[in-house]
Amino acid sequence: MADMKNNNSLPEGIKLLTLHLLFNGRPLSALVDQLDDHQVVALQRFVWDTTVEFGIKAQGNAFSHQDITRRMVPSAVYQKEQGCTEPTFACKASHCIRQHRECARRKLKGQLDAMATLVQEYLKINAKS
Amino acid sequence: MRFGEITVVTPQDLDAEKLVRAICPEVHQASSTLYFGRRPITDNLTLHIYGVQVPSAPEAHRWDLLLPRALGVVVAYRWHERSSLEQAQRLLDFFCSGWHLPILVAADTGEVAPPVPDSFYAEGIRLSATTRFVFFQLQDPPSVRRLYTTLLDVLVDRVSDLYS
Repeated sequence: MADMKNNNSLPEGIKLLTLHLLFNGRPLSALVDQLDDHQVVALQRFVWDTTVEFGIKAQGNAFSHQDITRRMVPSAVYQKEQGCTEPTFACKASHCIRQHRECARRKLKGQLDAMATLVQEYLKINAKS
Repeated sequence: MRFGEITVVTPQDLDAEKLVRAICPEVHQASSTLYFGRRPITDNLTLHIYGVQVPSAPEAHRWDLLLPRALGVVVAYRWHERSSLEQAQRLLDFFCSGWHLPILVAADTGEVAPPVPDSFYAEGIRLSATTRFVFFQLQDPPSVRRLYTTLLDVLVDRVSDLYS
């Protein structure tokens, strides 16, 4: 099955709302339930890109992509928690969201909130639930 | 004489005239929702700034008269007002779906300082290849003027991308 990687499928208005949530210390997971599968995958890409942009601005050369990924539950651990028997390489949203929609969305919500927390740390914003 | 055109769009609760007046010494009110200002750059080049206050759905306006020659669009709204954000979202989606123009989304924080340090948004936070986001303060003319220079930066980046 083809991956869904089209970043352009996320309306700009949703991107603007995402910035509002980030800058107001809010989590992003609630957005996921309002979006279709393509948009959810595009939201993850947008938040990843934004987190990288802010990470570089906050940390300069000290920034690493691992600063983001170490905040996330590793795929192998997540699969074990879900009782999933698919190969680990298949456990990514763009690949799995059509086959195991709820599981993929649950994983994405965790990733989005982890990135939101990191962005809010870079911006020195107090996170709110 | 050559002209460059920029269109500034605001929801009903934000004064489009002030955004035009920040860089134009002379502003005319063409209708209850449309303002027009001229900013001479050189003897042969003038910026034309159109300020449009949108009280209803964006589709109801004659954008085909304003946008075909525009260098770009500034969509400004009030950061602390939920209804202003919602209208800015509608405006943004409308311009992004129908017009291939550089867009600067600008959030007016009023007298409250922006919620993030200047260094994070000074060049514009990237929403897409041709859309950026910045904060500004309507009461502070230099911060309003920076909206225009930032929009021109987006335009230059877009042209650079086309030829790289």
